[in-house]
Amino acid sequence: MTGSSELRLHCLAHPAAAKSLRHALATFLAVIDIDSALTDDVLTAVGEALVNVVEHAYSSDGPGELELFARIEDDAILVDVYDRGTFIERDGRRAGAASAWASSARSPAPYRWTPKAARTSTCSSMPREKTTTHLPHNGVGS
Amino acid sequence: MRSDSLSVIRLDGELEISRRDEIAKALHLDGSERGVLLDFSDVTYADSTSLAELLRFRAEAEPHRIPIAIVIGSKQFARLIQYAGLSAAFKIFDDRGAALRYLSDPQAT
Repeated sequence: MTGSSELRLHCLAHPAAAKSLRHALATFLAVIDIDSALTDDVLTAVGEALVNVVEHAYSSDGPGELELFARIEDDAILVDVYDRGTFIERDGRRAGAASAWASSARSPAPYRWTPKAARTSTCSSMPREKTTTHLPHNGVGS
Repeated sequence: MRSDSLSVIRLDGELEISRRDEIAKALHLDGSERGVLLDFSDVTYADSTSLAELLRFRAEAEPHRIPIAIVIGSKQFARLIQYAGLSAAFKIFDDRGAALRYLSDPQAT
């Protein structure tokens, strides 16, 4: 991979939005020469971040904003998922399953991605009360 | 009373959050099954929503000692289960034949 390109999408955090944004990301990644397993891993990780926003960011007042920002910078795929909500506990069991997944995503993986660098943080370019899930990836499969 | 028949539950496409209710409805037991084959051969993607429903289904089956075999065709789905640390929680097979052989005699494996 060389050069730089990006994808930025913004919508309301409806359940169907997670699928739509993931599909858009898949199309964006399709132009990159990486193996399919690696693409699957990126889509899985980002898909979980999107589901987390849909599930846990907004109250029953209605869905708030969801944004996906993906870019390719030299040899890296960088994907940010933004919301402007706060954590909402929907269901203890489901939240537990999601937590189990999040924990595993921080474990060593068979590919040279860098899940340990995944983090939730404040993004200065967004208004207050938002979450950024940052999933850097060096884009090289084993 | 335990039935002699196997229950086959087949889902396809993407098992994701917008289909949660459909997935939950499909993964249903009446408690009399001899075994359950979950045929996900044509599932192309799954997220943690499906894992949560699978865990709930497994918990429902366990008190009845109903064996469950899962056929998974998608590498993404298989890896999701692996990454979630749930490989040992389910009997997973690449094809229906192997899954049916397991269900015909779960104690043999």
